[in-house]
Amino acid sequence: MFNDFSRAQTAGEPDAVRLLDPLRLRYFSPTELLRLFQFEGSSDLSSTSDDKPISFIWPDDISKKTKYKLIGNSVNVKVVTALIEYLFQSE
Amino acid sequence: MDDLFHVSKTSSTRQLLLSTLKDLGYSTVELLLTPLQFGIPNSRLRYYLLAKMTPLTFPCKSGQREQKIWRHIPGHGNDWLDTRLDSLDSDDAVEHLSKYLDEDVESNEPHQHVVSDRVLQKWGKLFDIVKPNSQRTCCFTRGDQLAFNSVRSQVDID
Repeated sequence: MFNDFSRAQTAGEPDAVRLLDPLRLRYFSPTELLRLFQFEGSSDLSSTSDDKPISFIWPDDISKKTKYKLIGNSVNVKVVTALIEYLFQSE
Repeated sequence: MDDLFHVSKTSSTRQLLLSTLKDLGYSTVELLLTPLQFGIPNSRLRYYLLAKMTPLTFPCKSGQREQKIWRHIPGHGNDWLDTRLDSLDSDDAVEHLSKYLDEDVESNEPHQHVVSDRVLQKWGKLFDIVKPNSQRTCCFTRGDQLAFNSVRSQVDID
């Protein structure tokens, strides 16, 4: 599909980009990225537990752009948790 | 400390940092880890540097020299192996991306996070496109973050 798009674009077809419509491409939402970075209890989503994972709450006045930027500069919580546990493990 | 490995590996800053920490009496462990090792469908390989002040020491380090870069946390699990080349079977250890996605709202309106035509026209060929059943995502951000719609993994919902 991308080859078709590429070809159409090179040929100067004005509607080339419509060829990508069936893919319904979208970005990840900031919430989805928070889950991937384990800020939210994503691994418990499918569990039957009644304990709701604690959600990360953004300040009200923060823009979408800033959210993406902050997540991009952050670390994966689960990975860092394991590292900190290892750090505090005694011999 | 965490960093992009390609930055750390080649820079003299890493050597300077390590030797300085050593001179100050710290024992260090260097690691290169990906969330995939923890079952999370995101590659994001990162360099981590842990340091402890003497007399504290790191467990499971006996016989290992300072320069080793661990591919797993010592004593916990194994090195992560890229299974993509071995087989077409999915990797049971890593969760599917669908578990991390927002619920889809049935609507005729364009999706809230839809990729604009302008971006598709300019960057379409460079996107890293993933599907809900993918077990891997990467590159959420790029160096310049002037636009929030910088090149990130895209979700292709079908």
